Amino acid sequence: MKTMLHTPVRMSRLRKGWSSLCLLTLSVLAACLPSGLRGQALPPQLFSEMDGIHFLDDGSSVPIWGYGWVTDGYITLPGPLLTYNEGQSVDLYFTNPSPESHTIHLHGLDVDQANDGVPATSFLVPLNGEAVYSFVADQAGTFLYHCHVTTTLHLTMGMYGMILVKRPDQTLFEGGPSYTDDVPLLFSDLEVATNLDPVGSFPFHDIRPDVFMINGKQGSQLEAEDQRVWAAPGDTLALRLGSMAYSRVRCHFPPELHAVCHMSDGRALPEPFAVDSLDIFPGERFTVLVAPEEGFEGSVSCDYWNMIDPGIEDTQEIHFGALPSSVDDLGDFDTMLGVGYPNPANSWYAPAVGAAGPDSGFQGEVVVTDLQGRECFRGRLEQGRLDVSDWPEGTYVARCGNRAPTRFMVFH
Amino acid sequence: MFKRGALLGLYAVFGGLSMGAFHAQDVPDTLWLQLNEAVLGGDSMPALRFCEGATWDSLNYSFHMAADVPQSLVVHNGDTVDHAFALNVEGWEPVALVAGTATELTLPSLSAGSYCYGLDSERGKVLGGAGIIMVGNDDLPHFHWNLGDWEPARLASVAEGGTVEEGAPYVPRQFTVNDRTFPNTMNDPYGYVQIGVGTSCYITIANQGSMDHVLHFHGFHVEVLQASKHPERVGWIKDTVPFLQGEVTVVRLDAFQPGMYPVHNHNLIAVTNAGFYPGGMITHLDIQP
Repeated sequence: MKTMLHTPVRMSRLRKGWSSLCLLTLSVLAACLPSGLRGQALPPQLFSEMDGIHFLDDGSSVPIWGYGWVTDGYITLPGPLLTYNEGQSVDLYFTNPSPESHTIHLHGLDVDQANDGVPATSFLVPLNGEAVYSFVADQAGTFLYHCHVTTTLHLTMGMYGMILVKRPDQTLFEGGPSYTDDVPLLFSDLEVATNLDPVGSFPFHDIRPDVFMINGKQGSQLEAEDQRVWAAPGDTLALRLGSMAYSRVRCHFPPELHAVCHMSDGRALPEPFAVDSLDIFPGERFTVLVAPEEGFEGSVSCDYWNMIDPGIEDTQEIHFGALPSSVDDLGDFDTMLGVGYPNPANSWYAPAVGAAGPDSGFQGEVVVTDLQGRECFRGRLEQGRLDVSDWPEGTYVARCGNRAPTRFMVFH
Repeated sequence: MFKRGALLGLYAVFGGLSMGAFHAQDVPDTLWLQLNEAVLGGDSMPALRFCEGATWDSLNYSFHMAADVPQSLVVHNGDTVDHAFALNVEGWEPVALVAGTATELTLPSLSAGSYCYGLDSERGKVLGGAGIIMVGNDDLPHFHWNLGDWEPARLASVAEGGTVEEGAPYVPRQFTVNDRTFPNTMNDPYGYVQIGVGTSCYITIANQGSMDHVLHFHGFHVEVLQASKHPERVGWIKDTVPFLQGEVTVVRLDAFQPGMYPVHNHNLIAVTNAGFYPGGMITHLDIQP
């Protein structure tokens, strides 16, 4: 099973919406895609493009290159989060309608040479080319993917994303600790001048980032409700920290999070250790479990250190919010666009949580499709709930009127 | 392997593959510190190097030494200024190297592990006189990667007697493994890792540059056996390993699958030669079937 979650923030629980999607990464419109990319049949397929737009915190936009799902029809920065189950044999389908060749390097998955995504040792995917990267996700953990063509440039232009390999029993690794939920957090940066003029950015040795991001967001964008990390009392969250930056990122964990580092680069550490600050170099990943104290509303500060001339270039914040202890206490939340619950779902799913909780949800027509765009449901809901108890496991997209769609998993 | 032939053909253009010489060089009786010109990635720049002989060699001499045995060493200072011989061993006091003279010193009895030696001055560090000493860890092939970064204008200024202005921006144009830039790293008998599938090796990595570095291994994780500035990381299994300035690290690689896999700096400005990609700090793991 491939699981494709579009927005690489908190994957489940409340407020995982696309409400700000249109403000964040409006890129290639589906209408601009080659017809072969629309309505694509199985299997789910990544594509690459080189004419995306990414909005910065100050409202300006920069061109990006990147990856997206063919069925979505647009690219994002970072690319879609890829999640697999430990032990899963994966065929990752990729097509490239963009004018330059690209690849996918599966960073840290120790795939064989043929699937390594390095042009000189593996293969290029040229204009209108298609490829399948095959591997076994044999180690649970946090990994990355990125284009390995003219990597210095293609990476800073935005061609990267995160991969999670998970265990069905919701433990980090065999014999490892259990946790409530994953929180993918991908650090990256870019140099605006390079993105505005990729060709003119040569020579590449003096690319100096001036925009610093977490999951493609910065500054006040990270304060948005769908970007916050939400924790209910008793939650233990797995912060999946990875870096595609050109900077060293130092994360500072408040004591109220009780942060413990358990993994790095997709492997369990010999001894987990309590962590108050953690350096993440380009390409590294760490898994840190946090157990926020009840009601904690604070942030993890992330300093971006210049790798060449030591000094802090910027600081971004991972904001935490406190959830009530049960969904019955949701009444004080504002009605959100594109907020569904729960995710993953095994019996029912409320695709549009209302101000008084999931049972007061959307009253209009709901349309649900799978990732191939095939309609799975159309109609009105009883008490705002969609019965998914007999649905096949997979990822679905629910649309409720004019609200932003929500993406959810069915997992039995 | 897929396209392996094409890759090997490409590499052959740059001097062919290195075969056989897996281990580091032997401990020398004498080292010659020399000032000359080095050509890296198309840039010519002044450089200091520790050479095995009186003949200029643009590659610093790194060597293997038995554990727990002191070693006498004569160092000729061929530079125009005095230096001091430095060793990153606790308690080691730099030994003066007077310009134009030879100095006899004793490398102390060292426990198994890897160390770096060099020059205890800004001039010496900037101009790159520095090598690696690998002690013990000789039960497996033992490769080494001496990492460096170079800004030719800064080197030229320092070679002429200048100093590095505090706060001056650093814009390195060249990035090296064992004083070579990719693709010349493919022709390095001590850094190009060529072993058989199912076998293992050690790799010592020393960051003797002027900035931090981080290497990503394709195809493999490695076990960190030593990390002089990250002692908490000993025993970690990693595919991406950082190296602070002056750090010496030893990793063990277990080659479980055949093929050709890059190892490269993941601060991607450092995989360029004067801004051209690919270049700089890239080498390969060539795992023979």
